[in-house]
Amino acid sequence: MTGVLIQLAIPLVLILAAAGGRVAHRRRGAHIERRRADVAHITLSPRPTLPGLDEPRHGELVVGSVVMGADYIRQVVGAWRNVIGGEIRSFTPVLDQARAESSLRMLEAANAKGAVGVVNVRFEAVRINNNASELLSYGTLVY
Amino acid sequence: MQLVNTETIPGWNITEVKGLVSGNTIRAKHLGRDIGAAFKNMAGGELKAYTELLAESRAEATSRMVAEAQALGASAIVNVRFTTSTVAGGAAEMYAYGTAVVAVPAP
Repeated sequence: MTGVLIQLAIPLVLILAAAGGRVAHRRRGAHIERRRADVAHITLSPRPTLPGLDEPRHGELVVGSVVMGADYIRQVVGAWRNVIGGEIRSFTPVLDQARAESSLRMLEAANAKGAVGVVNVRFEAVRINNNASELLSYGTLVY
Repeated sequence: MQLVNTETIPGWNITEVKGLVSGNTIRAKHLGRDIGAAFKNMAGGELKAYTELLAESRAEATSRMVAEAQALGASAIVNVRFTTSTVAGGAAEMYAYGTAVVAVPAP
């Protein structure tokens, strides 16, 4: 009897965790959209200079990072997709959101320092373990 | 010490190049944090403990790079780059490097 209960409990916990993960994913997305409005005035560029914006000032770097993982259902779907091949659609929104979060953190740090732009922006992704990656954004502040 | 990831600093002239400077640190994950992260991984989302750990390590690598540049008598580091790699046993290496220069305000 206990064996059956445990066998039932494990998938239930995983499904509940994944469902909670989905809700949290949507909530994070909405949170990102709200915060984006506050830093909308900051120009972001992968180029090293922004004509008309590079007023001389103390040179400074700005960094934003986040470590994000995919929920259990996405991991299972992703593992299957790895067998078949093709785009792993279950991971695309996770990384997309993580990159948005990391660049937003960079922009918020820039905003806190009174910058009007971030130039030479670089994005990097590093795998931390099987299902978590760090998304890093960095650049140089322009005042 | 000025740090930029561009080749030049607007409004400043680079008068001397002191050479390449770098700083690194290899950080292992804390077991408690690792177990917590494994549970968190089922629901997905941000693993805050790791975000903080990696940010701390990156700051450490950067300050080692800055110390090297100061020892060379530089006043700025241009073209700063960050790289991260996971090395054996789930440890992560943070590496920061750049070109140490002497920069003076443009006349």
